[in-house]
Amino acid sequence: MGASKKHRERGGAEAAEEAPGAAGTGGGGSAGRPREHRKHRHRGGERRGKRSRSRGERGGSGGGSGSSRRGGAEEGGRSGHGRGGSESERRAKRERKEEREEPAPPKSAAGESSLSVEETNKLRAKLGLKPLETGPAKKEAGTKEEPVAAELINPLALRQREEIREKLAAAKEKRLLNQKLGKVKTLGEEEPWLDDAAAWIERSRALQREKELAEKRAKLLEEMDQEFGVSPLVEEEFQRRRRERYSARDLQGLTVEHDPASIPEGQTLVLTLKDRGVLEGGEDVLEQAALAAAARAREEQELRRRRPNYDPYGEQEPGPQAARALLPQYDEPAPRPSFRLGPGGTQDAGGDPRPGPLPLPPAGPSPQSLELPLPRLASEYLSAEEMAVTFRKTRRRVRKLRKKEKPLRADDLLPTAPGDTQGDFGSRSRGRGRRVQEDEEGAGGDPENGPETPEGTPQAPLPSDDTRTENMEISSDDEAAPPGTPPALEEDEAEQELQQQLERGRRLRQLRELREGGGEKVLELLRGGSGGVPGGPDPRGVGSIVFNATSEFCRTLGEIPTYGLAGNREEQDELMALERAGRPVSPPEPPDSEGEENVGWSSVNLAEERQHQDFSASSTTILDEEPIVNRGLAAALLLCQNKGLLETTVQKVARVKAPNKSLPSAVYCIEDKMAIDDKYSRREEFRGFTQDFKEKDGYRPDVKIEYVDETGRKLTPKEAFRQLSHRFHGKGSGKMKTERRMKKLDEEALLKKMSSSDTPLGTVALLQEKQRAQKTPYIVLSGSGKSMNANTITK
Amino acid sequence: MIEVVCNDRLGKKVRVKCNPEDSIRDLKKLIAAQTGTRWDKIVLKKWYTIFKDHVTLGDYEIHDGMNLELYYQ
Repeated sequence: MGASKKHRERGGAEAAEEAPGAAGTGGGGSAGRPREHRKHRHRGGERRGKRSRSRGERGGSGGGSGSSRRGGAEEGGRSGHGRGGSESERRAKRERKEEREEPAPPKSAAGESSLSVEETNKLRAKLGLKPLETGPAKKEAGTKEEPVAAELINPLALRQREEIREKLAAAKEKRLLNQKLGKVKTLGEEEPWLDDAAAWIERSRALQREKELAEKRAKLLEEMDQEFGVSPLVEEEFQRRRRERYSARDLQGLTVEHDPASIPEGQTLVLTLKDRGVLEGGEDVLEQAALAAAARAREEQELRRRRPNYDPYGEQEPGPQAARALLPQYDEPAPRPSFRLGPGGTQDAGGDPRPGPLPLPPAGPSPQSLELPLPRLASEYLSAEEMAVTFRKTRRRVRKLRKKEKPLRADDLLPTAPGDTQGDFGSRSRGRGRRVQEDEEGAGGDPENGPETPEGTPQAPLPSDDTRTENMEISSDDEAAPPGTPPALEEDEAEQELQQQLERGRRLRQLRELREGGGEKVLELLRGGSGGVPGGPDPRGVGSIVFNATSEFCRTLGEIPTYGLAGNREEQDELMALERAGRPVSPPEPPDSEGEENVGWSSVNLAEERQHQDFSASSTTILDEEPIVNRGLAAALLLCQNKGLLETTVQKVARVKAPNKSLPSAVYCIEDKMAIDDKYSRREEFRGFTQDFKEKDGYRPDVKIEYVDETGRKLTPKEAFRQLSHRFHGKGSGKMKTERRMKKLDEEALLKKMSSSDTPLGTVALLQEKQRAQKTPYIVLSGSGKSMNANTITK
Repeated sequence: MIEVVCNDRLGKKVRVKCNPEDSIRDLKKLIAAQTGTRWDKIVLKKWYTIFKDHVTLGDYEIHDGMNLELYYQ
């Protein structure tokens, strides 16, 4: 666009060069303003043509390219001016170029494009808009470039025109009125025949004469008709027509769908054909619209109002009604009474009611009888079935102490044969824990327990653990209880309790015996050999490790601090004690005191305690080992730390506390020289001439007094003086002042920490980081890349 | 008939002849025919006032020779 613009401009410039004398219109011609007058361009073209043909052509064509379709015509015109044959090729090329450029809207030198009125109108027609309104709507006579002076508005003239218009309008109205009213005869007007008899007579006579004339004329016409023989034909036709007319006799046999009684006497009704489907067969039925509608409305109202007869206790025999008992309101409407017209279209007396459509038997569910079973006399006792249903026997789960599992020996298994035992030996559910038991037994219990266990007695086949635990009984005598015994519901609870107590007592006694006996007893027992039943009815091995579901659970659970402190756990307690006693690997001398009181895992605790004791004992040694320093930095640091060479405590930044009380200036006192007044003190004053020491001649002291504040910072003279005066006066600055000073000091410190190459927020560093992350040498600063578009540039 | 100047400020400047009874939509169509864009992509504005499609030029009091800003959406 720009290039073409330049081209056109060049073309325009050329034209301007060639025709410097031409007014702006020359350049305007090349600009191709559509509103320009043709004569201007023509003139320009002519001028150009006069000057030099070739150049003029170029300029002209350049101008022509900038013009509208008129350019084509003008081209023709210009070519009419006469062009050399040598130029024809160039001309043709340029024409072709112009033709190609023509569809594009013409652009002026300024880059504007605008269409002429015709073009606009064409475009508007294409778009479906009204053509442009030209003419009176145009307020400005000329364009912006060519302003035309507007006409003056004369108010006087305007007013005059208005008045004239009004007058004219009034006159017109009057005229019209007069025209209308002119026809009306007013009372004032005189009719001659009203007053004068003679005139009246004349008038009446004239009227009569006219009438006679009219009659005569009619007669004449008739005679003429008769002459031509037309009248008989005419009469015939009339008669035929009368005959062919549809009359009452044609209504014979038609049905009228109304009750003959409902049609009142002496009234005429208009009957119409009833509506019927096109494909329906049958004959026509006459009905009166209003009556039919009324009948229909009545029926519907009935249906709506009437509900089907609700008869819950209906005992009557369902007759034909039963067929329609179900939803009678939806049945087809009952047929209406009708009658047939007899010959001559007259009413027939009575009418056969047309048989209506047969009511279909409704297909519905069969009726159910509501008969209830007959009432019976109620019995006072429950029958067997009722008993079974109502009451359910609950099995009382008797809380029995778990029987200690007898350690299983090989001897026990002897009497058991594959066929003897109940239950499935192969199943996993059996013998839970029993295997383990056996192993433990074998490992730990053997040396001691061997002779003790009295398990010579063969046992009955043992059922699975669960049932055994259920069926377990406390009394040791009954261990060999047959498996199938029913739970001891019958056994008295009290007796069980007694047994429990006895058991406990026995066990305790045994334990004590064991302890007191100590190793001798063990040896004795060992020597006693197998088969000797130890004293005491306690069949359970003392040193045997007995497992219990509860104990296992508790063991895995963890240490419960309150475990066993309540009174219920005596049994567990004993168990544990026995366990401990029986364990050969236990620590050599478990203290007695811990036997009963500490429950459970005291053995383990002991071991720990012993370990702790060891440690404490070792720390009392005086000399530590020589630390190894050549092992690395860490060791050296450790050594330093131990020796106290490192400052491990964090140094707190010294902060000035706003002194609530005054500075300790109590030691200072302002020496008042006037106070020295007594004789003796005055005597001691020195009032002499002082002289420098001779030996200290060359001594020039280089004194540099540095004042420091609390943090160790060197003070400026101002600050130093401030410090001094605070000390002198005995009071420092107030809260605000000190805070401000502190803030200032902090800011100074920050200033010192500032980096010289970066902003305080570290922007440069951040940018570099971002670059590194993005792996690009640049950073897009704002928005998204999409927004960098020419289209989005807004004002 | 009035002539309205629409300027893009990016090089497109068109003078469009239309009636004051034309709606802005018609004006946009005329502009589109001259500039070569789609008429529904044109937005005519005057400062921040966006001219709506269904209002006529007369109602907007757009007179002859007025400059409108041409944007795209």
